[in-house]
Amino acid sequence: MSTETQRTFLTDLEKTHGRRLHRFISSRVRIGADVPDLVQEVFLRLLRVERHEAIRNPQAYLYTVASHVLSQHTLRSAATDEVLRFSNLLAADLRGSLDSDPAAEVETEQLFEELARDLERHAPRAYATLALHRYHGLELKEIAPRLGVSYNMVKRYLAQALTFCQQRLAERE
Amino acid sequence: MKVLTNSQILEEASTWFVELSEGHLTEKVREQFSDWLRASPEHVRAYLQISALWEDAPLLGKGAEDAEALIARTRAAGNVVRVGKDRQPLSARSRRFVTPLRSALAASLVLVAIGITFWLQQRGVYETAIGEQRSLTLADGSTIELNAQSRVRVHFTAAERSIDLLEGQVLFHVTHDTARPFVVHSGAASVRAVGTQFDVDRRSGETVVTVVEGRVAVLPYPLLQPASASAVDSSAPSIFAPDFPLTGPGGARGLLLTAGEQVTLSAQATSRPTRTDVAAAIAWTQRKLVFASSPLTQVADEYNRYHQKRIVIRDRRLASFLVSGVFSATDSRAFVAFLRAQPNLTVHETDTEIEISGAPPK
Repeated sequence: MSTETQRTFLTDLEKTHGRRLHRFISSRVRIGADVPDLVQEVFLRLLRVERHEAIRNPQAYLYTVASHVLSQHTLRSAATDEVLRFSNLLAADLRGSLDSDPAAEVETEQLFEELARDLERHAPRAYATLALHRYHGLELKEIAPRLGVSYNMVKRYLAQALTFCQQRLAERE
Repeated sequence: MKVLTNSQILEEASTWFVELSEGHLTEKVREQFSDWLRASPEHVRAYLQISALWEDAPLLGKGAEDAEALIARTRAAGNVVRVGKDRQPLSARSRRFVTPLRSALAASLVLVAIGITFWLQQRGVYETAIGEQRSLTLADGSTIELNAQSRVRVHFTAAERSIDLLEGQVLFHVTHDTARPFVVHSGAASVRAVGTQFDVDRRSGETVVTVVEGRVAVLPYPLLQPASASAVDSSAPSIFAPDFPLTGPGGARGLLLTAGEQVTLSAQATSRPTRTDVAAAIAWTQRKLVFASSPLTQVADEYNRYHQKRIVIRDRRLASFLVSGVFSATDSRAFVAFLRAQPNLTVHETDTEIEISGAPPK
């Protein structure tokens, strides 16, 4: 696969499966012994890119870099001279993860239901903020007056909710 | 392998994530985020983890009541709620009488909190809890890897790169800068380097220094800040130069260590440098515990860096029990199984600790 085709492939992938792709990248980050390699490599590439290039939209840039690292490991490509440290399994894995898997989705839903209860017990406001924003679709600026706190406070609730949930998820794995 | 991300890093990642998803960032803030991301692979990992969570987060609201009911219930619970380490600035009752003054007060509290966080960062203290490891890239490009249960304070000036090892073990990869020596202070000892790689382990009462690459000067006394800036200007003497003072107060002698050498220092004594297995000394970076005829008490200390359920040794007879082998730091079951298999040990495991004693007399 040429670099050009690969780029197109990534763009398409991003367009159609943005969320799942992000989740897939992140799940590779969460599990397994191959993980430090991936993170290290993404990190090293971030260091190599020119500053001004990366800071125009750092978040998107991070994902672009991560996708590239993954794809170069995933897609055996004659055009790249990258050392392939991941097996073909990963390619199958990526495709598998992009197709929906009903059993896994049910499991994820149950996991998050439990997580929601934990979070609500631990920090009701953080829970309410996260649920109102991500499930009910309210903007943070709308949530603040409804909960009777400042906008900055709501941002902190949201960050707390994310930190708490990620810690719980990591403990489970 | 379980990789626990330091909770401080997760908090930073979450805060950045929220800021970025709310948008309207100035170039300066975007630059700060970029710097944060480039400071450590752990930051990259944490940020990716939080964004994965973000994609799944709508699931957290599923099955809940409608938005109005959730708001009403949350507000009603307001006066008994505590979120994390935060104080609730307003009770449910007083919130009904929110005045501009109160809002201003709340806003200034937030500013103070941000100020304190900033100040803590400024002080440059980084730490890891049980089972956590963390690597950081410092301003000069040097990297430091913190083992579990470790704490350092980083203090860089124009004249010196200074690190206080307050607790635990750190592997240093120092970038070359002759004009600005890199000095690690650990208890009674100082380790001075220009560009090299070495490990410093501060244990109860002693410091173990292992050189992986290059050379370092180990001084069995606290090295003071350079007497004057002029002493470290462009013509700064190399620590390996013959005129570098290797003699401290009371005539205590410093040592030059080269790659593969290890020395143990305490307030009372300095061991002779010995050749050591460097790979074993830094095996912790791979989450491996390597022991070669190590006393069981030391083995327990190492193990306890990674596990909440501690190994406790009350039986004094075991001080001379020696252990050799390579273990996974995170696989407690295999380790405990190894201990159980020893004919002359008794292992008693409760919910909170694992006590090891000598076998009962037959």
